[in-house]
Amino acid sequence: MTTTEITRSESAPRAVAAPATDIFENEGEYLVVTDLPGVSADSLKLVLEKNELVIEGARADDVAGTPLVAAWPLTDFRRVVHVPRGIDASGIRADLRDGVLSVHLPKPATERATRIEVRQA
Amino acid sequence: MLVNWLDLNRPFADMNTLWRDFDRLTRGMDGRHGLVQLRTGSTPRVRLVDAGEEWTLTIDVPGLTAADIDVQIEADELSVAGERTTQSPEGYRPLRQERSDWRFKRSFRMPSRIDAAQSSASVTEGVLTVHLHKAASDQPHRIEVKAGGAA
Repeated sequence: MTTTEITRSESAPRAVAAPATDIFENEGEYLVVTDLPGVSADSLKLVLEKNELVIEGARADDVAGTPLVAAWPLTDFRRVVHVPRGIDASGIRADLRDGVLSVHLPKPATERATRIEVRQA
Repeated sequence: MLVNWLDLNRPFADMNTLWRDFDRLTRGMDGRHGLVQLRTGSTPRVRLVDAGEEWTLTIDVPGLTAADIDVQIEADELSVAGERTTQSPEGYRPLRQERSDWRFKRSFRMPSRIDAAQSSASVTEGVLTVHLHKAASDQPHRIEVKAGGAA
């Protein structure tokens, strides 16, 4: 017997969505927070090139079966965040937790605020 | 371009303009017809499939854990509720905020009764998955096909 399951064909390109992203800063670093539901650390790719941080996450296939609600087809994720040049890639720290990615990017030394001591003359 | 280079204090200043252009370009596209989809984030995304013995419902709930989600089953109806509040991490200043707070409550009336005892729900990697086991009387039945000559 052959069962025909109505699912996405393997060859069809999956749509790519730009995930919602927050960007914060403090004195020492930038913090990029991105929603990546369904993406595991293994299928997440983070690349820093010059002044671009590229976030790419692939989702696992949906459960097999006949779709009843097809309002939101499953998408992969891709987002490019522009960051200042000169960020030391080796200092970047990234955590993925409950489908939310947090990337800490240390500011280049030239951007950090430096307090200058004033001496009493 | 020159303006952006000089605007050193706001390295992300050009992003809003960029997103406006992007939104305009992709307006009217949906995931099935275009390769690009509009931004995610405003509301949880729901998918529901009929997997034979059960229905499987998945909802994107990035940032939520089991404690933030309430799932209830009554007869043929499933209710799911959850809430997300995002906050600036302490000591940080926001430069751009797209991830929204939301509160959702949705009910789904299935085509037949749900066996609540055999159903389950879990949340991993920001995705809620609810397995709704169909009640025994609504399971697919095999019907034997007899040879016609004997009748």
